[in-house]
Amino acid sequence: MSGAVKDEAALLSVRGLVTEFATPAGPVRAVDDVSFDIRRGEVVCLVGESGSGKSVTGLSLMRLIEPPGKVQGQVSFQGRDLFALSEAEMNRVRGAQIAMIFQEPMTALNPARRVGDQIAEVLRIHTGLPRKAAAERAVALLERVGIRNPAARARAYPHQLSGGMRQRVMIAIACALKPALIIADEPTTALDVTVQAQVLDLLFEMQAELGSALLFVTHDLGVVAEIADRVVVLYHGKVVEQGDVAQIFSAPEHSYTKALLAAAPDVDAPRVAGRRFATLAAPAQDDKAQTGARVAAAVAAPAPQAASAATIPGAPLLEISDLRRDFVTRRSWTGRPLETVHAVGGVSLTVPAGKTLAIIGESGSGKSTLGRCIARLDQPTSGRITYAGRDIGDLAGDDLLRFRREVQTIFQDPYASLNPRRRIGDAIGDGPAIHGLMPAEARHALAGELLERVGLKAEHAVRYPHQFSGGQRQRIAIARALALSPHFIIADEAVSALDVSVRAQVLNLLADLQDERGLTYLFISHDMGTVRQFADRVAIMQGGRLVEEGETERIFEEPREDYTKNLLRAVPRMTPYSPRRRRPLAPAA
Amino acid sequence: MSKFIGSRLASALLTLVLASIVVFASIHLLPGDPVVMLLGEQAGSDPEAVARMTRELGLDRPLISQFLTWAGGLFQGDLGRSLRNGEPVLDELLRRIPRSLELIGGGLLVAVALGLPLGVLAARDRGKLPGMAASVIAVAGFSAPVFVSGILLVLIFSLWLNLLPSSGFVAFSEDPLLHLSCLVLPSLAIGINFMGVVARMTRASLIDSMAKDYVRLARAKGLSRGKAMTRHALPNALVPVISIIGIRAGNLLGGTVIVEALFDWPGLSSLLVSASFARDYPLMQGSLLAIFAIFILISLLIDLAQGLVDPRVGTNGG
Repeated sequence: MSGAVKDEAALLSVRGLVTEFATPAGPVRAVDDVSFDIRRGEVVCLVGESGSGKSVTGLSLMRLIEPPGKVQGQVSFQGRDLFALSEAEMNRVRGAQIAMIFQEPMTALNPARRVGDQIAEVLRIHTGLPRKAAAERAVALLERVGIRNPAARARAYPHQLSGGMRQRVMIAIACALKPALIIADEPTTALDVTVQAQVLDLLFEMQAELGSALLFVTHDLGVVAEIADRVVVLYHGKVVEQGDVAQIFSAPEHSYTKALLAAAPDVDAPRVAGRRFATLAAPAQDDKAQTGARVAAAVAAPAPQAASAATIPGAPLLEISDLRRDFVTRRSWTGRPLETVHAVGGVSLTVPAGKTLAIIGESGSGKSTLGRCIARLDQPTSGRITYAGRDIGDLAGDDLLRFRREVQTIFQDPYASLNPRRRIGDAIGDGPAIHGLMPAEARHALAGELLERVGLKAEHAVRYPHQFSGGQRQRIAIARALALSPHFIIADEAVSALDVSVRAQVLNLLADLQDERGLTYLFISHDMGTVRQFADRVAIMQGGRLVEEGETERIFEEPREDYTKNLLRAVPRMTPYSPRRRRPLAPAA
Repeated sequence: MSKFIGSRLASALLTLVLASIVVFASIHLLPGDPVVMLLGEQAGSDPEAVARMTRELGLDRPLISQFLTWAGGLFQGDLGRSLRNGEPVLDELLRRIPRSLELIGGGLLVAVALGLPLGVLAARDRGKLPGMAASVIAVAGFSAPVFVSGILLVLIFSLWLNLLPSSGFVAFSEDPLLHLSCLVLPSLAIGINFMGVVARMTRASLIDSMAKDYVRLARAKGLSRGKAMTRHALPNALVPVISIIGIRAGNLLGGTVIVEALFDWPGLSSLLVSASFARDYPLMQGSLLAIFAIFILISLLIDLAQGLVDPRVGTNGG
């Protein structure tokens, strides 16, 4: 293993770390013989896809793995063997010398306690500071992490703060005692890209100010390029490669690292029509024709309707004019609206048949509400949506049934959208069954074919959703949408939760289907790199309004609006030591 | 917060008004005639006497007008007089309500004071001997019906150990110590079942909370496992426990019917039972209404307690 030579100057030195979890099927090694060093003040990124053991590694170092998990190996921190410390001694290390930041700021802060108290707590645990002094320090820390009006915010509960502010509070807690090492576990993954940029800047600034080392756990190679000094690449619990960030990005040695880098979406790479996304298992490209023919046969089985407007390429398939959707958030006791939120406030768009329109927006921009209105899962307050020339609000009876068959939605959270008590084969067959398209046997065959097409196995059809990983469940959701041989697919952050390699597979599949069957996609996403490669046109939404819309390359090369420019600037770039690095971003409007 | 309290109070009052209508209507729908009951054998032989008495008691008037008279009285604090002995209903109720409250309070105290620690122990030492013992006690607690646990308690504490009186009631003003010792067994009988429920809920909810990220953060701040549990997991785990206590506390009122009979405790339930047998309408209405009021009071207190524990209750949210 390269770089595992004993380094006397190392702040933290990990040797042969093994973390096992006892399961009914025998012990599972989440972390398998991991060794690396972190020097003082250094930023080390622990990179890997889901299930690579990167988060478990962080928790193992902190000795926060609960039984039945078992941790072995050697961890020396500032010359002390952490695994030899008593629990009481370890408690003095946690929070004071090694601090941690978690991924989900919503769940990582205690919902029942004021944020000021939660910051003050760490001070009081380790310094015995009196209550009042600790509270004052907490306010000062809040101010330091860029929270306006800190004295009032200290009295707020976590649910009263935005996601970005909560993560700032987490940073304040982590930095309160100037720890020598901060372990940050995907601290910006749950945040919007502009907020992510601000939080990264802050984390970086604090780290530099305190001289702390940072162990940054992430799956996002763009973020790695921005912040890392050194990179440790994990795959199935093992270190496959580690080294200097520039070396990892410019001359990766291990095939997994190379594949990972190739698969990562790059927002600066111009769109190449018809180009396939690189996957970890490149051979998938070779038998494209074969699988393509197979799925064409499977999907074509329920005989699509002849020459519907959906199949004429280039003609507008979906037209949205001045769409509004208001939500009343507060009513008087008579039912009169007191407060209204304009989730979608007058949007007009056209989606040409056989093309992909991407809608980009941060949380709260109204992009998902728009998608739901188009799928007729939600009722617009006003405005018109026409699909294949007909107002979808007027559809009823057989027309509506047909619309429901032709327009399919793939949601962001596959766990929430799959019934946990139904076998996935049945779930995939549900659509054809509801529409009375084919007998049970044909449905089973179709489910098997579709599962293979999305990269799973036909025999998986008898399993239940909880037996699959998140990425696999998302592919099941896609197979289910395809079962009805739709013309129009609304993909609402459908690939956002997937690892890059799986994401590439799914995007290639969607692209193939578009080529073969002329499918039209509405691709709702916040991932700019993916959108640039995948979409023909892009619409940017903010606060329920359309900021701008146009050809993909035009938007990315010559954005007209400041909001778009700021958004593009905030995306982490794949170039290590880029000039952007450590330069604070202008706060978003 | 004050707005939250205000709206809860208003809805409690509205519930009480609706309850009074239901109480009145349901009692008059019951078969049986108070006059016949009062006159006894005379009623069969003397229809004239029945008619006269019905008129005297105002029972011949339309229901609506009877209700309005009763409701009007309610507003002035007059609940009418008992048909049996002519005593004001309110006086009788005011004597009985504190006793019933005492019983329910005692039962709640048993349930919470024993159930919470049991649940915490069961969650903390899950898979270890103390935790399993706590779970067994909890299951035994809520598996035993009141009449079984009550009789067992009498057997053990008064017949075998001779520690506590088996039944009876002595006013607090007469002999405070004896009064309290009379209260112990009925409270245990009424609360032990509920204790099991509270323990199970606490255990499940606490185990759930212990797996939360914020408990992990508390540990990462340097708190021991025990302190992370008491400071961070427990307060959040109590939120659902409190609402279960609120929902089930009303059931304690039902339990009092058996317990008051078993331990000869002169509370509201036994009053309601005897009034019902006599079809003593004013007394039935009064005691039922008092029971409703206690029920509503308990839910109100639980709502307010929940607002104190969970800051997300009673605010406008994000």
